[in-house]
Amino acid sequence: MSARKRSAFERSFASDFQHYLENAQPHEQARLDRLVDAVLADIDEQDEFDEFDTFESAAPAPRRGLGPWLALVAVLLGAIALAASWSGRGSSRATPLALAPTRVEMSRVAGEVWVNGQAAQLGAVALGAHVQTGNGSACLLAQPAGELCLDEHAELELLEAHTGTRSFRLHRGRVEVEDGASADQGSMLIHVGALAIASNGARFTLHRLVEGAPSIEVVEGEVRVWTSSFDTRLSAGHGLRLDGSSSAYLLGDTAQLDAIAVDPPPPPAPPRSTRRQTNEALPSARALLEQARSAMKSQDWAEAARAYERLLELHPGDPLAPAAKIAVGDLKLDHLDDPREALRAYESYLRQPGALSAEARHGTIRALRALGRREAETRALEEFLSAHPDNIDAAQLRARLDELRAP
Amino acid sequence: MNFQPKAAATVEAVASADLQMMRFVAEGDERARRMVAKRLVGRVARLARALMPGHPDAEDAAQLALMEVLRSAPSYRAEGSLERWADRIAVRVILRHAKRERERRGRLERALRERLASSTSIRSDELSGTASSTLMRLLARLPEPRQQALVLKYGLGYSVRELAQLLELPLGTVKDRLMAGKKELRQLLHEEGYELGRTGDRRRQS
Repeated sequence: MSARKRSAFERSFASDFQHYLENAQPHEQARLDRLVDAVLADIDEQDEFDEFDTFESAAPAPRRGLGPWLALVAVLLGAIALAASWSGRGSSRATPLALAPTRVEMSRVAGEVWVNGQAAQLGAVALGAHVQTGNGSACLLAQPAGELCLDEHAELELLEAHTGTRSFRLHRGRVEVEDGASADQGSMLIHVGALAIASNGARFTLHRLVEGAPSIEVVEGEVRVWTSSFDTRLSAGHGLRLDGSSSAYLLGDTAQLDAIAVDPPPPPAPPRSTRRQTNEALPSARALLEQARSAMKSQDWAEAARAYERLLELHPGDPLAPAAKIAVGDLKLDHLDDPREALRAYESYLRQPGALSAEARHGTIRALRALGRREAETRALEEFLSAHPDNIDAAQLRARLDELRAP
Repeated sequence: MNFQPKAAATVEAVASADLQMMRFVAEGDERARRMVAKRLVGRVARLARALMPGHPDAEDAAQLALMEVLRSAPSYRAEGSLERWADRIAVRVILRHAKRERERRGRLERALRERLASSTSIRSDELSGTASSTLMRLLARLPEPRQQALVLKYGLGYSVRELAQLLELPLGTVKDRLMAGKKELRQLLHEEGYELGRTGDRRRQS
C-alpha cells in the first residue's frame, strides 16, 4: 500500500467505497442468502473442499493402542469418538499430513448398481453417497491409492474423502478392500457396525449380513481393528468377527477377543442413574463455544478459557475440541499469564495434530520462551522450521533460532 | 486519555474473537463457516460487482471468492480486520475470474459489451444493486478498465505497483488508467453536481 499522503479525492473515494461495501443494498438480502447457501453446499460437496469436513483423522497412523481417556470418550460418544480415535496416539514430533483433496470415483459397474437410488455411472462419487448393488457388483477407486469392490447385495456409504482419511461405512454385504496407500498418504477407515477398521497398505475383506454381526479377514498387510471395548491389530491370514452383543472372536477360534485387547479396559461407568442425570445437565459443546466467544468479546479472558476447558473436559471427542485446545493455549499465554498451562494445551493439540499444527507449534515456541526454557525452545523452533519451512513466521523464527544458537 | 487504550483493547478483543472463529472455520466447523460466510457475503458480492461491472457472472466470481476466503481460513492471522483480509483474497479471485471470462467471451462479445456499457442506466443498476451509492452509479459510467483501476487503487488502497501485478499490466498503463479514470469521474461528479466523501447521495451546495 502506498504510504504517501492521500488527497481529498482519494480519501473521499475510499470513504464512499467502504460505505458501499459495508452497507447492504435494498432487496439484496435474498440473493446473498442464496449465495451463502450455494457456497456452503459447494464446500460440502466439491472434491477440492472435502478436506474441511473432518481433519481429525488426518493425523499420522498411530502405532500404539487407544489410551484410557479415549476409551472413556468412546463410552460417552460411541461411534463419533471411534471415528476420531484413529488419529489416536501419534508422536508430537510426527509431521502432520497435508489434507490434500482427493477423489473417490466409481471405476467399475456391472449389473445392478445404484448411487443414492439412481443408476450408477462411472465417475466421481459425492460425500454421503450410498452405493448399493443388487444383482451386480461395483468398484470404487479412492485416491491416492485404494480400491473397494462390492459384491452383490452390498451397500457402502462414503463418509470422508481426503488424503488424511478415506472413510466409509459398510451397511451390508461384502466388500474387498485394497488399500495401496503408504503411511504418509493417510489411512483408509471403514466402519462396519460397531467395528472400526483402519489400514495403510493392506488387503482385507469385510462382510456384514443385514442387521448382522460384521467380520473381517486380512489377506495382506496389517490392519487395526477396534470397538469401544477392544483395540487390536490383525495381520495377513487372520480375521475376527463380532457376535450380536459385540463380543469379538478370532476367526477359527472360540476364544473371546477380550483376551488379546491391547488397551486397559475403560474405567468403570458410574451408576446408570447418576450418569443419566449428569448427561442431562451437561451443556453442549456448541453452547460452551458460544459462551467462550461471548466472554472473549467482553474481554473476560478467564471466563473464556474456563468455557473452552469445560468443552474439552465434557466433549473431548467433539469436532470443536481441537481448535478449543489452541484457544486455551492462546488465552493462557496472551491474557492469563500462564505459559505452563498454555504449553500443555498446545502439546495436547500436537498429540493429535490437524490443520492448526503450525499455530500449535508456534504457541509452543512462545510458551517455552515465556518459561525461559531455551533448550526446549530451540528444539521446538527446529521442529517448526522443519515442518513448516514456508510459514509466514519462518523468517522471524529462524532469526530467533540463530539468536538462541549464538554462543 | 482512556479512550485510546480502551479502543485498542476492543480492537484486540474483536481480532481475537475473529481469529478463534476462523480457526473453527479451518477445522471444518459448519456453523462458524456459515457465520463467516454470512458476514462477508455482501461485501464480497459488492466487490465482485464493482470489479466486474455489468458482467452477468459477477455473482459466480463472488461465489468463487467467498469459497476461497473460507478455504484460506487457516492462513488468517488477525493482522488486520477479517474484512480487509477477505478483500484481498476476493480481489485476486475475482480478477482471475474476470480475466478468464474475458478470454472466453472473445473479442466480438467484448466489443458488444463495450457498446452496451455506454448505456449507463442498465449498468449502473447492475453494478450497485439499486444504485444507492452515488460513487458506484457514476463509476459505472466509466469504461471497465478505468473503473477497476480506481476501485483497486482508491477504494481498496492497493499501490500502483500492486495493481500492475494484479492486473498483469505495465506500470505506465495502470497510471494512465488511473489518471484518465480520475479525470473522468471528477468530470461526472461536476456535471451531476455531486461531491464525494459524503457517503450518501448529497448534492454539492451551489
